[in-house]
Amino acid sequence: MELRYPGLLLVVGGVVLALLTLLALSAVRRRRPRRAGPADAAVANSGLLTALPEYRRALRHHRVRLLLFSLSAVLLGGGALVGAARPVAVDIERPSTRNRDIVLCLDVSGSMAPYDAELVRTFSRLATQFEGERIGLLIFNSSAVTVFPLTDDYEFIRDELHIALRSLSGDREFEYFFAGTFNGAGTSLIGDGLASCVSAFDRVDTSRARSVVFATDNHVAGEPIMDLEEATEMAVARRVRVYGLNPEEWGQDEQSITMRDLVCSTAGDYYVMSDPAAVDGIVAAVTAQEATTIESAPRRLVGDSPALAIAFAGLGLAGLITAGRRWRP
Amino acid sequence: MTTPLLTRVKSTLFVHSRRRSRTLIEGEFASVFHGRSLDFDDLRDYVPGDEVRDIDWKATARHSAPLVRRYVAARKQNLMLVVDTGRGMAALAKGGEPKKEVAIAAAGLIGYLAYRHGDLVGLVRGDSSGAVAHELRGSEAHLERLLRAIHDATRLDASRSELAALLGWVARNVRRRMLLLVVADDLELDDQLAGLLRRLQVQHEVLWLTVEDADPTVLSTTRAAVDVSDHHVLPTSVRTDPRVRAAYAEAAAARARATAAALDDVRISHGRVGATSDVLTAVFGLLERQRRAVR
Repeated sequence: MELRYPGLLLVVGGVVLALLTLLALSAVRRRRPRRAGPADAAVANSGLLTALPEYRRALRHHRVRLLLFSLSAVLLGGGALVGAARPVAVDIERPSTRNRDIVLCLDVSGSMAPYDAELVRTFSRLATQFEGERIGLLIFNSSAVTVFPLTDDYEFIRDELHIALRSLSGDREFEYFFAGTFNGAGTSLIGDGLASCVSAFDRVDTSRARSVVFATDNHVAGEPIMDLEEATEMAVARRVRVYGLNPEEWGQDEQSITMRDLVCSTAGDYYVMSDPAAVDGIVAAVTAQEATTIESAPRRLVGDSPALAIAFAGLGLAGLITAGRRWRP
Repeated sequence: MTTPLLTRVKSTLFVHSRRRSRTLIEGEFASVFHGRSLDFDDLRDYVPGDEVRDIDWKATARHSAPLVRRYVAARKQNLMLVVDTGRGMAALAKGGEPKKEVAIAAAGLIGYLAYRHGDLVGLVRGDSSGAVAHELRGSEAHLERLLRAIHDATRLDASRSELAALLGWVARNVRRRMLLLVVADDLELDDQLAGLLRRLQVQHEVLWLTVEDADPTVLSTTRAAVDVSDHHVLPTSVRTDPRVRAAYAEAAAARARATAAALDDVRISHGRVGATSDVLTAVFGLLERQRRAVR
């Protein structure tokens, strides 16, 4: 507990204390035998009054009341003073986010067109199951485009996936979604797509759990800059696990077997899209990896905490009212 | 303060009462003193208050109204005012003015009656620091001096009231038989005082006038009530508490009864007065009681 304005407390408290001391001194001086002044009512033979048990009881009550009154006044004054000095609670916080990075990588080539909507639904399901993980989405055909980079803003992710779903379902309003995916030589440059996705991670110097959910049929049509094998090596080099998700339109073929072998070589896994265990499997596999804490610079959090001062002042006020009630019967 | 104190005393007598009651009280006073001699002076009309036995029945029979005999007083009578001038008497009386004002009015009235009667008036005043005696004289100026002495001696910074010491001094030092008028406040009559009074009543003739104390439970709440004896402040909220007030009224009445009983016990006529406006009535009552007691 610290005070925002300790000076105020010192100055005002000092002044109040000095005033109280002066008052007390003058009271003590007055307590000394004083002669009845012209303003006083001089009475004689008051022994008759002061000896009365009723008087003694009333005097006792009077003193208790005075004591309560002074204590309450001190409490109220002190509480108000401390409250005015603004007590603050200071916390040193090192905000950290323990999470993993997941890049969803979607092949939007013609061969995948019938499955993409379904895949985006799968991605949506995936996204709802992760909590605190950073998720990004890239689509690729002959070139890769970042739909959204790694983020943990799940509302945004949901909206973007919704747009993706509508455009992939053939909504003409969202045709722009595919802009920039035809800049390469040919179509379906799978290796380039994976390489782009593997490159989509930030903070490459920190060691983090990084995963790519790679949805493709691995049917290449064109001249990629990197073939799938090279892209996989790149993933291995960067310790990125690739989880393959293949619609397997024609059942297990050469391409799908190659793809399975390659993604498995990154310590990832391979799933057929129709496999109901695919989503749970990917989620379990990703969360099984150790999350790494991202630490930001320590922050000093200063927050007002006037509760105690207000409570004491309130108590004092209640005491003052109690003691002040029927002060003059 | 330049008004002579005696003028105020006279004004009580002259302004607040008709001439008839003035002669009435003078008659009362004359009766209190056994100031009769065998030397017949003259006859005058009877006024209420005159002794019935002073009525000259034969003369009355010849006259249409009752006549009383007047005698030439054989000797001068002596009235000694015994007044407490401690600071207790500077405190407030029931009527709100300082008790000494009431005391001066009462002592002045009786002193003036004595002076009119041709008697000598003296004063013994004092507090715990000692007693002061003033000689007996029979002049208005002397009476004024006596009243002035009471007035000046009774201050809030004077010594404490101590009636026993004052009465003891009178018992030891006043030899001649006198009429003593003791003016005191509402004090507790203890055995010592009662013994002194018994002795004084044998030596002299004693009249006792109590100046009633102010009731601290009904005094204004805007003023601090300070006891003059020890400068103790009575907290306002405590002294004005209704229960305290009721208990005090009872206790004060009991004290007054006890004082009256103790004075009756030593056969001393006594009266109580709380304000200067009541002095005439109180003195009249006191003289009346004394007259009846003496017969």
